[in-house]
Amino acid sequence: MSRIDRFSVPLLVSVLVLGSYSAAVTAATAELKINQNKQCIMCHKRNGKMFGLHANDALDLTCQNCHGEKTGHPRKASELIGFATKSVAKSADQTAVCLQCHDVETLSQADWTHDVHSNKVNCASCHQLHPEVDPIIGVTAPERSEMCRDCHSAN
Amino acid sequence: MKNSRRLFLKSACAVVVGASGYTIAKSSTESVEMDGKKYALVHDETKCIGCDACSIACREVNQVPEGVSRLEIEREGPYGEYPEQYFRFTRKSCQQCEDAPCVKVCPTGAAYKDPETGIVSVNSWKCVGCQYCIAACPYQVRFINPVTHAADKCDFCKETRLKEGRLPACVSACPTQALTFGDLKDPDSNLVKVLKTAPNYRSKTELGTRPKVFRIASQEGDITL
Repeated sequence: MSRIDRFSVPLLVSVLVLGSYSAAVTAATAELKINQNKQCIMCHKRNGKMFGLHANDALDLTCQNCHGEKTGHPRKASELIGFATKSVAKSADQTAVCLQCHDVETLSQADWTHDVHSNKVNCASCHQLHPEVDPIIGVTAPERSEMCRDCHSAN
Repeated sequence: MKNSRRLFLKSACAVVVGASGYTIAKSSTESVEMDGKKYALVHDETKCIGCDACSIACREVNQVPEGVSRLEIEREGPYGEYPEQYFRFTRKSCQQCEDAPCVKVCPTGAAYKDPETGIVSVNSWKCVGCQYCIAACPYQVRFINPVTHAADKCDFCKETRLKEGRLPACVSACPTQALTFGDLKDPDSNLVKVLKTAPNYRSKTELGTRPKVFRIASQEGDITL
């Protein structure tokens, strides 16, 4: 066997293995435990699936941990909570759900803006938990500044 | 003999009075002669949110390389108890001193105060990089630009925005209109109006440098010793 073959064959094999592995990973994200929650996913197939960090099987979270119990939803009254600016839930109530696990001190260390916004806006104004990566992670400085401008504007 | 001495003393006094009167008159006309503008800036710290839009715009417009900066917003805090916390933001940039130490120490005349605008600037081709100005500046806002190898600092966008007849980049970028730029000599300018209505302060006035960057202090008080 020539020298090139000696290297290229294992390389090719590893590429194939890695390729199939990543395919398996994408398949797995669709089948995360949290997304097998029949009670919710039966209707919210399109707008309810969870791919972010919080979907991690090891965390063992369910939709109900954050959104609350279904009770009468969708026909009757329920205690369900939505996370967005348009949600009927008050900002403070939305933030309180996140603060069940995230403590103020750690948030403060992660970013100073937490300190001055925590009781004024909801977390969802900046963070999104459902997509695979929270768009605020790795945001560039000009983009970040633009986000400030979205609310803080004298004009 | 007596009379001639008296005459001599009298005439000597007259000469002294005349000479000193002339110099006083001359100096007063000199200051009137400079009828150029005197640009200044107000940073309203009560409006500043620390978004860094100003420093980002400054870097882009003036092509300031990474690692150095003409303008920074310094953040102090948090003050107060959660969840009622707040920060204080102060602007760190050239203070555009009327009596600029950097200009005084520059051996080549690269650091100069533009008589037309009152803006302290750097002539980069004259700068030899001796860094005397960096040592002399009490506000520590000067740096050696790694691209031009000359001393550099904020010049109110004199060579970029002001040339185009526009406001400095930081002023137009500020989303909360915390920055007001204008001519101190124009009584109708927004700048003068702001300065007349709001109590303001300047940094290190005790040094006698007479800086032209004014600040409106954050409202929240706090004890720092």
